[in-house]
Amino acid sequence: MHNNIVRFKDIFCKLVATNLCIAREHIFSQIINLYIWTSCTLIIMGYIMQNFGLATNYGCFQFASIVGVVGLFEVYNTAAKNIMDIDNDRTISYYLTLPARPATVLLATVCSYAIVGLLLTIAVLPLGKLLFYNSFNFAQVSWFTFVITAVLANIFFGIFMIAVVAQVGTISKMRNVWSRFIWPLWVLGCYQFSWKAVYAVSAPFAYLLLCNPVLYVMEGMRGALLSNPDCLPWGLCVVGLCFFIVVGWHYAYYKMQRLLDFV
Amino acid sequence: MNNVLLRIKNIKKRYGTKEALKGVSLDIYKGEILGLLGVNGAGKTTLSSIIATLHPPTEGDIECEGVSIYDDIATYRYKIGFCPQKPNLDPALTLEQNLRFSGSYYGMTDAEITQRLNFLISQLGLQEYLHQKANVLSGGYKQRFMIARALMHNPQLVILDEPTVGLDPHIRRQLWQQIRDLKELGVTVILTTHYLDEAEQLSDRVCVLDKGLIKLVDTPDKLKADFKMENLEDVFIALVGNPSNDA
Repeated sequence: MHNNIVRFKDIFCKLVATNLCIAREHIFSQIINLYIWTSCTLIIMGYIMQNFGLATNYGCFQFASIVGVVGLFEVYNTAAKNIMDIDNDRTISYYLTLPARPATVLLATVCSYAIVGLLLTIAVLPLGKLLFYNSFNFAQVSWFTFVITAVLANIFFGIFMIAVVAQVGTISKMRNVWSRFIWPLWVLGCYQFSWKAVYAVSAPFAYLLLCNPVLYVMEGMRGALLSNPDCLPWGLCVVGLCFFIVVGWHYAYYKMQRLLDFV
Repeated sequence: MNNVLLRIKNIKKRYGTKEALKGVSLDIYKGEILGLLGVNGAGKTTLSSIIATLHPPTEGDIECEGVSIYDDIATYRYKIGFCPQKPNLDPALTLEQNLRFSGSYYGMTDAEITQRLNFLISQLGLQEYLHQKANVLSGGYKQRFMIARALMHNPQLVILDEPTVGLDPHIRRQLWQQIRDLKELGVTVILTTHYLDEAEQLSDRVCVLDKGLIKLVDTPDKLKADFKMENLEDVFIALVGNPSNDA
């Protein structure tokens, strides 16, 4: 992989530039969509559900989770676009005959996905500040850990997107993506609760949840944004994400090679 | 011969239990137009996509100027331009962006890209649609843009997989002329087609594939003389027979 990046760095950069040129057209619309669903969720979780006994600071807790999960919610649309391409024009087959390795093409896709995901992640921060002005304090944010977590999270989501494309393969099976892949990762990824809360209820189940990569994104992001001492150690979150990035990459590449039969 | 550009050595390709190519060996010479002929399912597209390095062979090797292309596939890819059967221009980009990005992938400078782009769009008559996206184009224009994209980086070898399928007769004739122009420029062309008139008009040599094997490789004139027939279509039918009889 290292050799691929070094030897084909120019074409890698051009491919990323192409992908970003395409993504630029939709980024504004994506931010509007993001603001709509985020604000709806946060108003309900931060202000309304308190009347049903939810903790007063739950809005901020939920906001930190949303910041982490932004990249995951782009997986469905991006995977659908790529699967439609494989089912129809196969634009990807042009990229796979360029003077580079297929890994370069796939890495460029992951990288551009991560850049867009990172932009969306950053774009949602002002909304949290606006909605929870006093309870969400920028001074509490550990910016270094936030950036590292956001970068790793979005790289993972980019790889996950490719794995979904390779696993699903055809648009007729697209209906399975949400319920079989995204939903379990999301709701069991400690999006609405902390890992320690699960541990308090059932330790075996909490340990089982450690197999969910989204858990490390959620816990890492909450640790970074809220300085929450109840989160898993940030170092563990980074190691966990790195592990799933490496494993996910090899799986995605292997499945993609089987799907597209590239050289 | 020392002017062999590509040496295809016993290429086999299996998809599960189906054997699409059963051992194809062929030399392709510099500057020639080679017509790959065959009925549907003969293995033409499989062979051309293997030559274009889109798919790997199950067995066998391809040498370009004496070196296996799989030793350094990226270097080989600089030498080829591939135009698949189904146009796969990026629909999210304008046609100019498609061509400009294409040049940039091959390390061309902006000045080189602009010069080459201007040359190709005037050669292929594409000025009108340059700033449009691919989905507004008719089939003929899409094919021309595909050829332009395949030629952006000045390849030595162009692989055209059924470039005239579904096109109006006058557009087909225009594309024929453009393929002849490629030969004039010294480009080697592999032309996959099942239009026998097209192969007869354009090819220096034709290679007839049948059920994953090469039946024959020769010049159209030699084939007609050997088979004592007036056109390539009759030769082809004599060689391949009626595929529906196999069913």
